[in-house]
Amino acid sequence: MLGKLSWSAIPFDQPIPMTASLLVALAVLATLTWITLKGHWSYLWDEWITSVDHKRVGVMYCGLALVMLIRGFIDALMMRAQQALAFDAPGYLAAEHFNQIFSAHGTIMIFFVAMTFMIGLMNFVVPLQLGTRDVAFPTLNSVSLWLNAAAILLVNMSLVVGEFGKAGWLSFPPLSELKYSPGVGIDYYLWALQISGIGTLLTGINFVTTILKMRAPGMTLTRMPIFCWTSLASSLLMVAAFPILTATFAMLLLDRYLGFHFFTDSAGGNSMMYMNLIWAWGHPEVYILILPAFGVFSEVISTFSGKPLFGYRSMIIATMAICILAFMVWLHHFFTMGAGADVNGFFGIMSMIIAVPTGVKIFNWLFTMWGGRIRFEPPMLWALSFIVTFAIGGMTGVLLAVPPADFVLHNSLFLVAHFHNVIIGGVLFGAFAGYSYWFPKAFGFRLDLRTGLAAFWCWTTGFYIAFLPLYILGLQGMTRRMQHYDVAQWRPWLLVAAAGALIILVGIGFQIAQLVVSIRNRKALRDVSGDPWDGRTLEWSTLSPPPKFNFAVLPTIIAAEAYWGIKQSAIEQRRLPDPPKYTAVEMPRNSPTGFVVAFFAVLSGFALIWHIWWMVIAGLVGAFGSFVSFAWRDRSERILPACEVARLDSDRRAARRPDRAREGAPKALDAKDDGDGGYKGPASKRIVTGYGFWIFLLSDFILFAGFYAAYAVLAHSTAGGPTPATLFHRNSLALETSFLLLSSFSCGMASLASNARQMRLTQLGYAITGLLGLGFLIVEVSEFTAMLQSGSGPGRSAFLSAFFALVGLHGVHVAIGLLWLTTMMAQLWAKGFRADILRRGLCFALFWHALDIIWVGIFTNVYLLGISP
Amino acid sequence: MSERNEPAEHEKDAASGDEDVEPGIAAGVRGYLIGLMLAAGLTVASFWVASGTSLIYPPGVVMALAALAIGQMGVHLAFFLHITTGPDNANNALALAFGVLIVGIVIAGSLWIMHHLNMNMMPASDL
Repeated sequence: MLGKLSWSAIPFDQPIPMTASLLVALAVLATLTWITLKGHWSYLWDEWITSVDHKRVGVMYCGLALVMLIRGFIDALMMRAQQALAFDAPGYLAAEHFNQIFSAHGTIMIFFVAMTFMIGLMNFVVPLQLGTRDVAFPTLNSVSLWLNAAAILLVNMSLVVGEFGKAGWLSFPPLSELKYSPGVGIDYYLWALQISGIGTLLTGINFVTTILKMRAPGMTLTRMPIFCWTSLASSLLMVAAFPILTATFAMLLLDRYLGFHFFTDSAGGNSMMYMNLIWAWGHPEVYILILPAFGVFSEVISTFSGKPLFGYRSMIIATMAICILAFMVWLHHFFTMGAGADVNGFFGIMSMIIAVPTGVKIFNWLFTMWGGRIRFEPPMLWALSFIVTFAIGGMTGVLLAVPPADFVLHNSLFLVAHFHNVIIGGVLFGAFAGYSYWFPKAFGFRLDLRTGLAAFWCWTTGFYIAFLPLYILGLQGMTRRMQHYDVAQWRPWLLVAAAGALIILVGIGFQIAQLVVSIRNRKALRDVSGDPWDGRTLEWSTLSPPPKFNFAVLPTIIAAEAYWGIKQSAIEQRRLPDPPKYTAVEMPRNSPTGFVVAFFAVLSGFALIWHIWWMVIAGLVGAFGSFVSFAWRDRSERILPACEVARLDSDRRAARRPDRAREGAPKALDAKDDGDGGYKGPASKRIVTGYGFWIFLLSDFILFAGFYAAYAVLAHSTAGGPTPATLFHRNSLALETSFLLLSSFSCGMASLASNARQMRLTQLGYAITGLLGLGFLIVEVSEFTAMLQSGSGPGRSAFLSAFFALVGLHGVHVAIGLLWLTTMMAQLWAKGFRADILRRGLCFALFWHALDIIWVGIFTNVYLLGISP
Repeated sequence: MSERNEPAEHEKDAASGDEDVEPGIAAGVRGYLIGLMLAAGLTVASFWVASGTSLIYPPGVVMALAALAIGQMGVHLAFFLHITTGPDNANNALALAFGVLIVGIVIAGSLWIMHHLNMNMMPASDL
């Protein structure tokens, strides 16, 4: 009934996790009681939980990240304390517990702090900077958020129920295989990250589509603020890299749950393939984190220097160069694996090359400040500290990119110091810069200055004191993840590092104090103008906090630095532009879909971890059901009448003081007007939907590429079992291929019929498509059954594991396609050719044709290649 | 048809999967039929290449199959998914190019790295 779950899963005998979970439980209980007593539930549900407003979603992302920062930092303090104590002594943490802590620390800090914070900033800022009203797919955005929250919940559940992974933040096999990690820790890790990975992928798709298809009229690509550019690059990397992570984790899960042999040390499995695949995701991942931070710094440095960004176009080129090069350096994470000199040489050189665009950026920031009138507000201080800290981290990175040096430094504390140097100094400082920069925009009041300065100085000094000693320790030969040690000369440095961590703790304390003080003094800190920093980009042209629709009338952009130009001409003419003609605004309706889907995701994830199979099925059915009921709804938008828009916008106009005295007399301004640059504004819904789905399909291709790469590498690891030549049959293959090809054709016919609004023909076309797909599945299942019965199942060899996973994944896609087709046909029948159903039909056709493309790859390069003599 | 006939300013942008011009039914069917014929021809060619014909130098079969597969994928993209190189399709084609680049890097890179590793290191099963 409850699978592996029993009372023994709760660590009653361990005081530390029990106390921690008790405290968390009390805090949660207190919060819930407070909400209930104050009667805030309906506000919370209507305005936040079901909100699909990108600003609310962004704020919730950042809130989650800040809470998880505290959790991850407590882990860090515990590790520092352990290493400070554990010289010739066991310390206070058992090895088992210590291993869980460093694994959880890395996982939480990367996925649920750095990534979550960056996605939060993107959510809040990008649509405002683009001059649009929301992201391309608002409800999907809320699904992303809640899936991320679901993953966070699962990770934190592991504190109380069961255990967390003990194999490091990337869970390398064979240690993470069932044989060596039989507990539920790795399963918590894997399922939580699979769930959050889906959320991240959806975010990536959403933002690529938003940035490329939803910009305000005249906002050409080369007028976009750099933060939008870096968000675009980061989103492209999410779309391209996360499928690889999903594929890799899926393989490890298949090993653990169904006895496959991808990464085991028997039956031809190859654990090095895991290193290869996980880092093919892992290196782009660091750029997913740092690129939005680069964007934040670009905005902050330009604003607080009072100058346009130096080298705007070189910044774009550098960003996009990093976006591509990020995929060509992954081997530098495992130089020591033994691939040899030429492979290491290539990747070493590529790693040095990728430092060049980053260097370009640093010089651009320096030249932006040069000759500027710099205001040392907290966002700018974080940016300045970043430039120094990140440059040091970057240089130690280039050092590590030299393969011979890496052989000495691999897995040492030098490496730990390096990546903390770039991730804290780059990503986290970027998050804090963005937090203090956009906080007034989000909430309508500034953050308190004195506590902010104190937090900044504690973080900066604390960082250097905590991490510079680790460089020295690394050079002295101390490896990472040591629960205890007996080298006396290490101890002083570890004590210094622990002191540094305590200074950071004080910094975090100041940040909490800052929030409390600012909320208390919010009247005095009120930002009335909506433009507290004299900003240059569009988000500062609207109120703080912005109205739900962001802009009463979509702005028309005539040059780069959209708001600066408008503001200067208003100052110049000492009056605001004439009020525009207001029209009704269409806004997406709130939806509980995200929250409900996430609830079912937690249910299925928990059930999978504890092998409670009935609950897995219940969770999956529930998630599918909530998607269908969402797709079935009739009204997806609500209309704000024009008079309401006009009323809200008059607040904004009243707040604007165009005659606000800036130094000296207004200068004559050459009002730069480059016209609309040929870009007329947001695309139609059909284009937006089609494009978003196309991006999703590309990510799906990359998912298959991950599985295909594993197949290609493992195809000869037959472990004495059957080979492709003996296993594959030409006749059934020909049958399967014809079924799919014909179904592609009939699907095309259905599309044509639906364009001509012929209901019966459309349904007929879809029905034939579905039957052919079903025929394909029947042949495939019977083929698989025959193999399993003859003892050639996936447990036989690595080759068979890879084969079943790759072809089975395609089969699962076909099955999902059939399920989708059935619901869509029913919907079409019930509601006729409605625009949203037609959009779904377009997506289905793309999906079905894409499945056929993938099958072309499989039948030729898996089957036919296997049976060719 | 309201959404397909975009306002004039969007004439340079097509939804992924939509044909660039509004075809008549006959033209549409013709397009899919041509695609079906080409794809079927390439499929038959792949089966023939793998059947052990003496017309192809045996070590070349791998490349022949890969080439036929890529060709057939192109046919599907053009005739079924309507991803073309036309100006209205620039965003769709660019996204595809990025995806193909990543697919190529992941597959080729993995094969290259793992091949060298297997040449240089003892297999895990022998450890």
